[in-house]
Amino acid sequence: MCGLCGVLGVEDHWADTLGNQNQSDDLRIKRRREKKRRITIANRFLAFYGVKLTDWPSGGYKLSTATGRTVLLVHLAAFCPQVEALCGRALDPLDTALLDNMCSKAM
Amino acid sequence: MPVNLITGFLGSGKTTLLKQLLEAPEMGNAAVIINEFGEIGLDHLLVQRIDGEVIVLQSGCICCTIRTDLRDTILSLHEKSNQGIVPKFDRLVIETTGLADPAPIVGTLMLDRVIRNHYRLGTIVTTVDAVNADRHLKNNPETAKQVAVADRIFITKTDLVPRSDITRLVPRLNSLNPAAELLQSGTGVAFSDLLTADLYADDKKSQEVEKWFAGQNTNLHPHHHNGHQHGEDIFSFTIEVTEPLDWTAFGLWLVMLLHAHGENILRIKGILNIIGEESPAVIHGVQHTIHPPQHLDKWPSQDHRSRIIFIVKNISAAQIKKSFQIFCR
Repeated sequence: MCGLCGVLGVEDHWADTLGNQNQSDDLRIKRRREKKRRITIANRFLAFYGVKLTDWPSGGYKLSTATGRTVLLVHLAAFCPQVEALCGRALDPLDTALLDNMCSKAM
Repeated sequence: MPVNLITGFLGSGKTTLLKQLLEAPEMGNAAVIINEFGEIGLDHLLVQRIDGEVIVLQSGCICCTIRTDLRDTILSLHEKSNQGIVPKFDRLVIETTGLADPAPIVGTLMLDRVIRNHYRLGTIVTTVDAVNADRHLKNNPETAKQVAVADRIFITKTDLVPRSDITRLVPRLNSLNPAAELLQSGTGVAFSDLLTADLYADDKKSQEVEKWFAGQNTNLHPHHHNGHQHGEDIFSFTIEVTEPLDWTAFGLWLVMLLHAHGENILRIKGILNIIGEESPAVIHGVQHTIHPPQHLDKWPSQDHRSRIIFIVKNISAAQIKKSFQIFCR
């Protein structure tokens, strides 16, 4: 588990405090908002692999394919191998086809 | 508790450096894991032999030889300290073998669930022999890698070569690892310069981060050398961004990048301007392992750009920059 896992939703990790300097915020609402953001950002590139990330009400996330295959994640730190297992492809942010796909969607 | 690694190719002066450290009063509360007692010659310093693997020196320093593997050695030493069999220590220094790749050692420290609860990585100190540096860098991929992952590069045997050799060596080491501080033997290098003044020392954090970028020149193109010069095709480049970064987008991108290419991303060091944050976040890592990010109280300088140094091998800097741009901006 890398040190960035906290930013990806491990609740007890240091990085969950990033952006949490204002102690008057409702922490629960703030975390749900942040979780929703993570899901939106992740789906920008997961779509290329035919995988979608959604919120799992009991905590964590759900990864699913168009054919209905699903896997539950406690936190996003482990998303890479799980996505690869679902879609049968290697996740590579340097993949030209992925980058072209993300660019075309951003336009 | 900080853990320092002392690494360097065979004959590069690692043992000499260790001997000096073991005699230093500042090491009185440290424990040192070495390959073999006989290599260093500690008999005249020996105060107490605890068992076949552990001795205590005059300075108070605990010296331990490595057992079957590093993890067992660390945990055994830790247990002995808890039980009062050896004195308490507040720093651990590990000598690697001359052919060692430091990255797996970093992985052991950062990823082992038990060890990481008690220890955190301090500086990686790499010794480089001024007499044989050219040959080692050219012929031994281990040397280039040890230099690439270093926080401190200690050039040894400087009294045995002309000044011009050092003048030629410094930029070469700097191009391999612009984020490391270069120190030379014979210049009165202090114990703190090598070991204690690191990112986790509250009064030294900002200085440490400034050192990362002090070694860069203004040319942002990759310092790319062919494989003949560095054994492997190791080079460095920097990503610099003026606009604040989205922390989540950056985190997801970096996790993916290290998952796919961690083997080739030898070192990352960066200071980040994060959206919604007044003070910077600092990241650093070795291959697949990223340390828990640090926060600085304030920016070290007027420059508030995000700057990330990559030391990599066999990978395209242009593609990493392009990917970063698409994912993070």
